[in-house]
Amino acid sequence: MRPLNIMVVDDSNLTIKKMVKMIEDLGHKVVHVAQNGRQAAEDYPNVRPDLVTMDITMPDMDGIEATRRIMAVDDKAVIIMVTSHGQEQMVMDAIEAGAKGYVLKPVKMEKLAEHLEAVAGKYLS
Amino acid sequence: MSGNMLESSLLETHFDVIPFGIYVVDVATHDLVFVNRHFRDRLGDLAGRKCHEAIYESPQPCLFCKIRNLVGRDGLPSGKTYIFEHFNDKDDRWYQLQEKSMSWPDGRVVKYSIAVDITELKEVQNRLAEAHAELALKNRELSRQNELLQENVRLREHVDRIARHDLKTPLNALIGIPPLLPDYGLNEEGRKLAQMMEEAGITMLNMINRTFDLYRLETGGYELAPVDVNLAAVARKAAQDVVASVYMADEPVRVELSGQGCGDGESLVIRGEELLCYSILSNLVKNAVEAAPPGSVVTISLGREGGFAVVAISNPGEVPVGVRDRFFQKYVTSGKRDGTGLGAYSALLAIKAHGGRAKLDASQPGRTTVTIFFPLPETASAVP
Repeated sequence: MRPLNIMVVDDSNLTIKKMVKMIEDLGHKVVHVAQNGRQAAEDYPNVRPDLVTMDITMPDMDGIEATRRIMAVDDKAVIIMVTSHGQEQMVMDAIEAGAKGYVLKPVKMEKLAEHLEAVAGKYLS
Repeated sequence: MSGNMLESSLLETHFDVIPFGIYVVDVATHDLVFVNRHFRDRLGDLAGRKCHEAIYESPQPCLFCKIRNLVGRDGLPSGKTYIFEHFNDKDDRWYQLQEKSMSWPDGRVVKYSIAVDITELKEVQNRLAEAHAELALKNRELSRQNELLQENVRLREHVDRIARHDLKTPLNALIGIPPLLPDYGLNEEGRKLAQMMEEAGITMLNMINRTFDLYRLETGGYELAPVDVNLAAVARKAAQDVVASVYMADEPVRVELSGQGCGDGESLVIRGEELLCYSILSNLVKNAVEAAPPGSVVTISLGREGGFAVVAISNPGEVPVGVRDRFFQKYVTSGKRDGTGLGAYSALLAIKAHGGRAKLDASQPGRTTVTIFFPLPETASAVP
């Protein structure tokens, strides 16, 4: 798999730190970080990353609405939800919004690698 | 030691012996008032620091914070208990939090939170939720592929319709001109050839129309315009035409009504379309005649049975075992060099368009019977 340019969206500094470390250890590059959904939706068109990791619960705008807005400007956007919400309705809402993957926290290196590879193989090859 | 301090000390001792993490927060300031031994051993003594900073490393109060629900408008404990699950980014673990407010011995209103580590339990739940998400993603993918496929089918059908229409135009000349040719001076042989040309054109036109009907029957777009149809007459005509076109024996197809020979005056009336019924019977009779050994007799038996008009087409010979289960399926053919595998398939579609059904009986050794059931008018009107 080629190295990917990834945008991380999460309101938790701790999660951001962990995600950035894992993504870089896997050989990819974090090109942008957004700490809420609104910022993510606004920044996406300028950043145009290969892939976005998106939290769901965030202040200002949640990750599902941000996913909808990003998909509205780029229907090929590849967004993976990285969240602590495993409820069926939340999963369905995220997928209907356009998410290409759904990972539940805690996210470990192997799990993240597996999801990135699967999604990249399907949508970015 | 004052009474308040003694009371605090007793509470703290109680909290310290509980084997789960407990922290106590001033609801007004978010300052940690107390952290029990279980938490102290893992996180250090956090008392005096803001809860969201010390426990969750967030500069602002947490989004999931329940403090505002734990106190009433008067600032006193509301008496409500909140139990919820929370993933803590700091230690990557799942907790079930049970939170309630109370009056601390020093007079402050506090929230106490008991955190039970449920990480192992959540792992199983999360794996299930991820599998569910994976399934939902695959479903979405499949429905997109299906939409694409249907769009392609629609496009192909559109092209087919145009092609059929275009094919019909040159047929006008092929069918229309031969009858005029004798006026231009043809000998007997020439007239015969012109007639053959016209018949070939009509056959081709019928084939094109039939493929269009088949398409409409397949897609459910065929709208039946039912009138009274005498199945006995249709069966006699189908038998006669099949004999003329396929088989040159004297009497290879016998038509019976209620066990007796079926003459011109006999009738068995259903509601349907005569041309479609003719197509059904001629297809199935043709199959039967082609499958029967030379010199044998094919029988079309008509009758009534429990509100249905029944037509049984029976011939000597057996349908190969591997074909029996698929007899009415599309493109299934056996032993015929020019078989399209559409005869029985299109017949079944047309039977269904009449509200009927068909079955193959190959249980009698050396014999094959296809039985069709058409609803009789009184039955058909009773069916919604």
